[in-house]
Amino acid sequence: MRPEPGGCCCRRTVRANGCVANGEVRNGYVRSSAAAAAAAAAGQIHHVTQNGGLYKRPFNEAFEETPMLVAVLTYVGYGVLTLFGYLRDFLRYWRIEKCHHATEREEQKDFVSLYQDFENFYTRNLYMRIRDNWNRPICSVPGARVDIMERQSHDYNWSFKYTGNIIKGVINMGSYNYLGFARNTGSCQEAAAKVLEEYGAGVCSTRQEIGNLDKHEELEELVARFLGVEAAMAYGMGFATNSMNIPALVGKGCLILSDELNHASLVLGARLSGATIRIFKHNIGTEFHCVGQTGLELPTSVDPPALASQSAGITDMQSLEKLLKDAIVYGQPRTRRPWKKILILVEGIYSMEGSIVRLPEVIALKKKYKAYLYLDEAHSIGALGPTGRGVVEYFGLDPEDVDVMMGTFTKSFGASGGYIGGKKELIDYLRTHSHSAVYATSLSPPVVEQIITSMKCIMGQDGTSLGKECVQQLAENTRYFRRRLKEMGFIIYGNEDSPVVPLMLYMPAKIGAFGREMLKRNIGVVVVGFPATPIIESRARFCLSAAHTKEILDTALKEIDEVGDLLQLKYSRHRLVPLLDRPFDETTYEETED
Amino acid sequence: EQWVLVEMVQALYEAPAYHLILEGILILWIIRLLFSKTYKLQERSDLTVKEKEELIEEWQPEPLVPPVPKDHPALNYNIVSGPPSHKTVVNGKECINFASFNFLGLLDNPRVKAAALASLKKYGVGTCGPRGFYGTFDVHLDLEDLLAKFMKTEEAIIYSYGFATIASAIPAYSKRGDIVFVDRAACFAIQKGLQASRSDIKLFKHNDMADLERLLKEQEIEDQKNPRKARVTRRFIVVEGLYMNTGTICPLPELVSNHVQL
Repeated sequence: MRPEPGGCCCRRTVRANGCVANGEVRNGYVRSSAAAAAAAAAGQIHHVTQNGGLYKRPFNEAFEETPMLVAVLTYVGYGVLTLFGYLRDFLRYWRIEKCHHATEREEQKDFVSLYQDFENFYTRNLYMRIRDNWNRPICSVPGARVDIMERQSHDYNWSFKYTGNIIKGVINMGSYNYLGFARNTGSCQEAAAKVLEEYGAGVCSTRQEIGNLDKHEELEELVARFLGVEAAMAYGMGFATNSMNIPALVGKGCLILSDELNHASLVLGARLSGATIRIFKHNIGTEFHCVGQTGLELPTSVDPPALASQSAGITDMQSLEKLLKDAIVYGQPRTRRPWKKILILVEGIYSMEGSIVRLPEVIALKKKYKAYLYLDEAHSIGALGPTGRGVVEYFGLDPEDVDVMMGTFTKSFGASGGYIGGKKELIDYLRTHSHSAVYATSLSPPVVEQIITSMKCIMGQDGTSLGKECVQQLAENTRYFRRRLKEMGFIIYGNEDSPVVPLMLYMPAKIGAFGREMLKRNIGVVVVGFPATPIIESRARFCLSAAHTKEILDTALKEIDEVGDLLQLKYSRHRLVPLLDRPFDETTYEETED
Repeated sequence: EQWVLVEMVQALYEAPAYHLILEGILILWIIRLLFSKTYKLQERSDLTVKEKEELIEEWQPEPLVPPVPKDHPALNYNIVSGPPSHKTVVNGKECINFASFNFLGLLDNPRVKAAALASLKKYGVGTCGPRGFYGTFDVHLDLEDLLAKFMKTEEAIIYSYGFATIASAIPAYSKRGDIVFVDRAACFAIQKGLQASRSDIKLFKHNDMADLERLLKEQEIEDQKNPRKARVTRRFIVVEGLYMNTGTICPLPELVSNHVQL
């Protein structure tokens, strides 16, 4: 197929590193002359994947193995910290060192203590030392650049004092601002201000009493249209959406199959429901490359022994299938009665790993074994897919296949709250039986207006192409940032298309060092350690945004490179050959003419 | 004394017959046990692959949600158009509002709205992150200071969802094995918090201090029976200031004197 000369403005470039049936491959870039959305382009690329055609696009996910030396040093580091922790506890007990942590009042000294000493060992002795990397207060809108209030501590982080200075213009790589809607100017903010004037700031009542405004009905209709489902319902808090609706859907006698790395809200909802919970493993270590690689990644860069050892274990889909089979064949544990229903809980993007769920396979399994699927798209709605409709559109699947589509408005829409979408019977049932509809206050009107305006912008209904541009900008930022970090030699987890980028640090001292060094260079990052991640796999997590321009990303990458050299963070053994760093413009294609 | 081999062999010849036979049988039994196959405690009936597939084909789950009758009273919500203040328009009719929790009438207050508008112009609508990751604003810290001063406590913490406040606070302190004394008329959020905490729950009659005393005395007797356990169980009393379900106020002075005593 011949390319159109001059190029139309809506040309989508799709990068493929696999075999191609219908397009032309030059330097790994496939041109498609389809002017419409990428769904058409994706359809023209046929990959022979290991699953016989379930995936319409390459699924590149990698979790590089921890180098042995680094793992040993990390354990040694934690050992040293633990010893010092015991020493400090001893000194504090004998009053040699001043004791800063919270103690009971005099009158309650003989009560049983509120916290057992050992429970808080980690908090007192490890977390406190690097506490200044978290809870950093800001005083501006959390956009691409943010102002952080400076604080100092004179007693080793037990208490903070605000110096009054404000560090201005810090590059924000920590806020969940995927499409750049966290703004204090523009059409969203103006609409929200108008509604605030008219309706006030709150509702003061629950949905089933007198808290159901016409705005809420409008929002729910819009969300249903956005997702492509029959009906939807909106709630005041994303966390509470999960913890209050899962108990309404399943109860005793039902089975919940939940992914290993599910978020706390899903785990709490599953526990509160009273159903039996079984856990299946997460996507670990199966590096998914399509047959036939082009010259972008040199064949020698892929280390066969490392891959083989990772994929030697059982994969997540096999683990899920085994659980499903055993559940249906053997029934409930002691009585052998058949299960009433089986609910699979997965997330779209896992925020600590940056991995995307293997949705086509999950849906195939769900159809075969007649289970129900609950998809939590907290991070992936708005951030994945050619028009931002989430992980279902990213894989090109039908939203009707997912029984319960849940998501939050906090991340991509710049507001707060959550929603659940699905068939009309489901939503009718939730309207009557959901705990949140009965007992909790409904969404506040200006927030609803922000969601409505931003959603219309993404859908393109406000007359501009701002939404489409933001989605495309995010996708380009993601690919560029991940590629550059991998070229520098860091270990990056997760899928190539996910805007959540975890960079592995491993050692406990580097957690604090990385956070502080980056702040000195005017970049705000998020570092995560135990208990959010396994104890030796601490990481720094970057959240990319459509508001980040290329200059901002380049500045950030330069500083990350510097700090990486300073702290010796470049552990990766699979170095990628750096690509020619040219922008994606028309000239790139002219030289690759037939 | 030294064990000499010759003496041992001599002792073997001199031992009585029954002794040798018994030892021989025991040795043979031990050898048999060592070489026999291990037994599984639970015998799983081994189904063939075809039987398993048939079971999978036959299994029918319940529908995800049971059907809701069209005339369910909670199905169709009342639609409020316009601001939910003292006079609201509900389903097209203008009504006086006796239904929302707008006790001080601050929903309409122009100063409140002006402050909210100023903050909207400065910070935008959303916080785009949890408190730990650049989601703490200076206004959050100011509010917490003000709340602490207002409630005359040392510190305060704010949550973004009212329901979640008590439902998260209870499991943060009370864990499995602790005891919580709760009023029977406690609201749903407290009930969910208690369920999440997995502690022992003891209910006392609504606003009945005598009943609470009785329960506390029973607990004291239990403690004396098992002092080791009592030394590590924490005890909490959960009451509401103004009960949502009954509209009564809890008798706080008696409660405080009660709790300090025991």
